Amino acid sequence: MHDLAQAVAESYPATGTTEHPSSPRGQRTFSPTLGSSDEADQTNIFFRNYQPLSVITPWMRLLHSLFPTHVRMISVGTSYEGRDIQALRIGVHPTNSQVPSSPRETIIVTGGSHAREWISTSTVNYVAYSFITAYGRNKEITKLLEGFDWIFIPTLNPDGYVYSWQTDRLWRKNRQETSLRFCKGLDLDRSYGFEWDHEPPQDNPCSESFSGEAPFEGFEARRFANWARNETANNNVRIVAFLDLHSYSQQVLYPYSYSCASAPPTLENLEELALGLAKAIHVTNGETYGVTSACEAKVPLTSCSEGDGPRAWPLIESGGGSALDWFYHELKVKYSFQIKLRDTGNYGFLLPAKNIVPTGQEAFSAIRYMGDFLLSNKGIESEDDCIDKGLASSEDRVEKDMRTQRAGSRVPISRHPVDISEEREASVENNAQFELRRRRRR
Amino acid sequence: MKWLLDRLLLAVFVLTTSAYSDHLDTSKGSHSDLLSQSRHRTRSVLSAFRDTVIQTIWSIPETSDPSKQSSHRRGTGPPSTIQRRYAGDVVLRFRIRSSHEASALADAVNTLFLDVWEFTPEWVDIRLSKDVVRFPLTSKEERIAA
Repeated sequence: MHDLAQAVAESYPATGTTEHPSSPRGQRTFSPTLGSSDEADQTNIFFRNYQPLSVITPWMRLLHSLFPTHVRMISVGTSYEGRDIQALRIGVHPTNSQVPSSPRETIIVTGGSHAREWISTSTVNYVAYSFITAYGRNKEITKLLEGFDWIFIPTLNPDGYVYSWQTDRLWRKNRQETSLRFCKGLDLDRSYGFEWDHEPPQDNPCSESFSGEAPFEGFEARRFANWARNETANNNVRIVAFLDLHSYSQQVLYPYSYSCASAPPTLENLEELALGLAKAIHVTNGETYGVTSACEAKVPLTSCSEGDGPRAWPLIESGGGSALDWFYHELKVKYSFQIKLRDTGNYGFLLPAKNIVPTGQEAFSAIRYMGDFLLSNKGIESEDDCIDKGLASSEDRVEKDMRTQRAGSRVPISRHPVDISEEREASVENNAQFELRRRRRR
Repeated sequence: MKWLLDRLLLAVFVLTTSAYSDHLDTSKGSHSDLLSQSRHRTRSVLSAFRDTVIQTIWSIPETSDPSKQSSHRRGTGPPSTIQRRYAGDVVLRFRIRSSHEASALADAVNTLFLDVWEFTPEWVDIRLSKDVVRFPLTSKEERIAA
């Protein structure tokens, strides 16, 4: 970056007109081409620039009150400095209080674990907004909101985010006190309890990837993890997917990030969905996102021509204690991904504001694809694999096979116990009829 | 400590030669270079406008000409707080071609607590102080100007 200070200054929003680098201010009114100004006016004002936390929080509250049918603003924890970690819970529960409901399938999308990655926060906001406004208008999105609860957390590190707005644009950690008075903050994404490690330089509070003195010392990480565990254990929630948005480098990463030595049990499923996400992104705006394991994204491997075959080179930075691994391994979330958004190094974290909407669109496509993937029988409906503790009994397996034969809409069996026999007769050949029957029941 | 700095300097000198040439080849747009001096003039209109607003937000006394009629007024630059913090820094991309380079970089990063922006198996972006890398940078600038 030839002028870091300039790039930092430009990453903050300017009030007034949106950027038209080619046309000076005075000319816009009389320009023969009205196209560019129209385009700017159509962009939602919220997404024209990055927004500080003081704007995001009221905006979320506004959405909560504007769309009470399917939006709720919740708090998933508090930060070290006392701010609430706000989230939007979007979803519609088909209520039938006479029948005990099965666990509500939930998808969590988070951003802003690292404070300087502003694009991740804006992308979470954009995707949430797209889901909210498409409910009732777009059939596919409506189905997704009925099938899952979506939890969007714009920033898991509100203290760091505010600090990056007010003081240090390139701040990465949270703002927690450490053993050294002048080096504050922990790297939240190294702070989770699974395979937490303390290798240098992560053991030094002045390092940008300081992981704390103990697992889950990161305040926000601990609170968020406790919330997730609590929801799963006590609130009838089953987390089926976890997406952690970061930047930059344009990659879709799947577990594990702490080491390449152990492969995740559901590797093929993860790879399949990851490739699908990358393709959905590419189809939207043409941006290429690489797909790789989170460990391989860090470790350069030698090529075979060097003699001994592929061998891991020294790590630049260890990936232990990441949220991705923790959700995958500890909470048994079958589809956990970390998506590193735009760009590939031209601006890095100081991504110009005009990328907010395109990046948001890409992420929206990817997340929609993931929702569809999960709704269809390639995801949660299919035969569960070895990460589930306890093998399914043979009857359960037969029931599951019957369910997998029903392509399209998904009706949990426990919700309509009387109708099971009808549904089994409506086999895969009669999908359309089954759809009609289902609509009539409603 | 000094030998590490020397080592880092050497690593930087070796790597930025290749890094910069690669970067030139793969540049996709106008803002792709990490090291070049580019297009300051054409962005000054927008920069000037934004600078004014940022100066207002941070209550920094305006030192430049306050007239806004001319649309080709040169920007005053980023506000002094940002200037103070970042003006002496630069972000460099190091391409990793051998395990020796990887371990040298890893050592340097660990010892000097460098701000690693991002890394992949092929490259590492590191924010460094210009003072640390002044010598290789100036030689490159001379080469570009020639």
